[in-house]
Amino acid sequence: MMIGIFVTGFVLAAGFAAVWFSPRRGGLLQILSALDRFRFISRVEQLTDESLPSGEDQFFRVKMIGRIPTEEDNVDTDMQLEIQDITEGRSHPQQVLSADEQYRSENNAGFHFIRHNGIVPEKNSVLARWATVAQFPCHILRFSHRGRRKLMFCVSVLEAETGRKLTAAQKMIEYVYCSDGYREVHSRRCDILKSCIELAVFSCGQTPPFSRDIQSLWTTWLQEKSDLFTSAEEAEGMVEQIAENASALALEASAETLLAYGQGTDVFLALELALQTAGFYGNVTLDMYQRLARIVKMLQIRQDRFLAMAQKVLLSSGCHIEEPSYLLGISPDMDEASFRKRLNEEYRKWNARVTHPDAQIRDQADRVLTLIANIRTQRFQTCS
Amino acid sequence: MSTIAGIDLGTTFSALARLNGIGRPEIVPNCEGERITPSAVYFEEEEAGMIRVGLEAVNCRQLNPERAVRWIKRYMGDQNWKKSIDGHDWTPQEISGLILKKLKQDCSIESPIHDVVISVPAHFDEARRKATMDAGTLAGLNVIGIVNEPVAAALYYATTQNVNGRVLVYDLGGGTFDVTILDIDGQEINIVCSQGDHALGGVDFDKKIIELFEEVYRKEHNAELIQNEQDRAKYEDEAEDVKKTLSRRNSVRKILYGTAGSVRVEITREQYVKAIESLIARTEILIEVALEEAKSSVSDIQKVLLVGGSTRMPVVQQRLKEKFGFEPEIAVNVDECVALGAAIHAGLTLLRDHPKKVSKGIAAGLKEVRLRDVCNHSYGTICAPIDEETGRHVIRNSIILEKNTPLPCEATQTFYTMSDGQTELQATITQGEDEDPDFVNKIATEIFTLPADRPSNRPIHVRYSYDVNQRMHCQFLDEESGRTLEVEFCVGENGQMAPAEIQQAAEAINAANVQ
Repeated sequence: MMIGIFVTGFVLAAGFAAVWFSPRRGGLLQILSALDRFRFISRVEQLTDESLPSGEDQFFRVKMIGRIPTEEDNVDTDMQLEIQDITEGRSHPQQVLSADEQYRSENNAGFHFIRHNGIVPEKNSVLARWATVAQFPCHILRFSHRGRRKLMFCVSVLEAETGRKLTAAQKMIEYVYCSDGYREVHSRRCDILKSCIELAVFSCGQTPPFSRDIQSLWTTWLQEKSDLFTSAEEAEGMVEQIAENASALALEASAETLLAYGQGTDVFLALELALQTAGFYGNVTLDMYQRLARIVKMLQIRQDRFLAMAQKVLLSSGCHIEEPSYLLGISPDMDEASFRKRLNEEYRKWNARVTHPDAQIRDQADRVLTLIANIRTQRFQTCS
Repeated sequence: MSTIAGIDLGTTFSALARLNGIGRPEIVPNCEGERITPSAVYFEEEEAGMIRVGLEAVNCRQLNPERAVRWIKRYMGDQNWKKSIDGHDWTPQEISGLILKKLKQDCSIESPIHDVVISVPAHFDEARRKATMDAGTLAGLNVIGIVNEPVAAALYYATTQNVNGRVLVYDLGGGTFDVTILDIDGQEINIVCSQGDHALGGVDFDKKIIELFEEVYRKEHNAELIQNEQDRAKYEDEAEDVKKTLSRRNSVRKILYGTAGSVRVEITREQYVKAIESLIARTEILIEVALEEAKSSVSDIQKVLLVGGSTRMPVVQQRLKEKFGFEPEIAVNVDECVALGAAIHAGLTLLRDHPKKVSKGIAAGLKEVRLRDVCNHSYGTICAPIDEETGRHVIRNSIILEKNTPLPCEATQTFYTMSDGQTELQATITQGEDEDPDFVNKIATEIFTLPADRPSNRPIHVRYSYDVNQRMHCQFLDEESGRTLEVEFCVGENGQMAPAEIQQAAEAINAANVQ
């Protein structure tokens, strides 16, 4: 009997020693730790505050409990929360972004939260009650993709002075993200900007190859209007790709992309670039104007808005305009009353600008007033 | 009692009028006996310090155009314009100050001229009005007010001629054009609206004649007629003569002398009218715009009053007759009625502000005259409303006090703070009609400090008021805290020249030998 107990004890001890000194030591530690009733663990609660509007009423509350091992007494500590999106597997974690600066690290938009935890009085002190690490609205989180996401919440206690991790616990939950993910938004944004360039290519009525100067205008515009590109080469790459395929451009598809996925201002961005492109060549031909008008129609931009933008971009650029009356909203088929009314409106507007403190605006206003008078003279001389 | 006077500081000619003992305005001739003085300045080269103003300056200009200045009014308020003579940079205010000094010294022989009202085109903005007032101060005058030229002309017509009903004042001067619509009932005048074109006047008509000269010369000799500033000055004067002659005769013959030879040219009235057609079109547009603003049609206008030398052109009178169906009214002298009206305005201003300075005779003469003017420009502020189409905030100029609102007037609009915890807002006062802030003149910008820790959408009431002295008061009121930001300014208070600079320049002009 005694021998049996002794042998069993010896075998167990030998097995334990064999595992301890093998690569499976981590698993063993986990088993041991699970057996520890004071082990450090965390939990994630999803709460609803019905007093808040829908979409902003969900909260995450993250808590922790258990032993905090330290090497000495009275160690000052911080607690830290990180979140990883492991929907595509633990080996391919996606970054979770925060829309709230309070839950961001200094250098990037990734979710990161750290705050002071206090003094741990003794070695291996135990946090006996659930303590809240963080509570924050769910809507501040941004995920890579829309839909059901697997989220790993990692709570750690750090030594305040050195930042060394004293203990950590992980908790996985599932969360349904109802907005477009940032990767989807990025890819759509690229499509929108691509559409803007495509419409600009169409507006100039030129065939490839395009000059370096015009390509440079488009590249600069891309970089100014978007923070999607980390380098000039990236923006150049997009422009070159569009320029190479310019002969196969599908105008309707570009306009549809803008209307379907663009924000309200994107159609105006597209028009602005198209106008700059038309003005770049120094001579806005009737054909270019008709192309611009087609873009405006497809993008469903109001005529008065188009005219205001076209005047601002083209009239200040000093380029020659083949048929300036269109820019003033005059069409050849207008009856006399509408013609007078329209021209008078334009005259009133530009006449008020003629005493502007900025000499460039004054000169522009002067030129337009002369233009208006000439258009009127021409019309009535033709009539008589 | 000092003499009460009004000055028409014109682009091509200036005139001074004073009120006589019974409040009637009369022109005071200059020392050459002329009722109007050319607004021209010439800095003598041989007699150091001698500055000629008027006809002599015009005559000297062809000899050395580099030392002459004409049409300075076109540059009033332009900070970049300077005329460099013998190491001194003359500003438009100083040049105008020299012209005013000449008027003052010539017209002060009987009794000294001190308190004056100076006329300006109706469309002049704050900077140009201030520059005009500064010019008066530099000349040693006490500028008690500024009056719009068409208003001055209307005052003269209303008080001296039998004019009643809705009237259109057509003021086509040497450099600017104004249209004003007003209601006259006896001696009561209510301004309805004004519209102006800053670059349309006799000078522009002259330029068209020069273009005709150049075209003929180029065709004949395949060379340029005007080779230098001296040639330009010469042909500018010739063109003015041709224009005036064409108002009396059907054609003019001239011999043009250039470096490539001479050429005989005949310019007919028909040719001239064709050349100036686009300028006439501008006057017609402005009339239509003014009628639209006054919500009037052509048939509502009972009289058209002509002001300014350029209205002597037969084509102007003929077009007006075609448009309105009756002959326009021509004053005794279209060159003088602005100065005469400005003198009446000076009398009215003194009666209102300093009645003790006005003699009983003048007070009795003006007691029936009532004038109700309007705001010359729109005043607003910069705000950021949500654009309906894009759903984004857009920067806009929001008009609070509209142009042509009868004076005195007041208007309030409410705006809202944009963000949580907003502790300040930029209070900008704008002048101009545009919605686009790039195209309006920002005349004042102040920071309004708000209480901390408040949510967005807190109401801010913005109240603008404008009184008959053209003093504007702007108040930004935070409704919740009761905090206010007050901004007050008057025409002629905030300008490009600091008081010390004005005093220094005034001393220099006072010491100048102006003949």
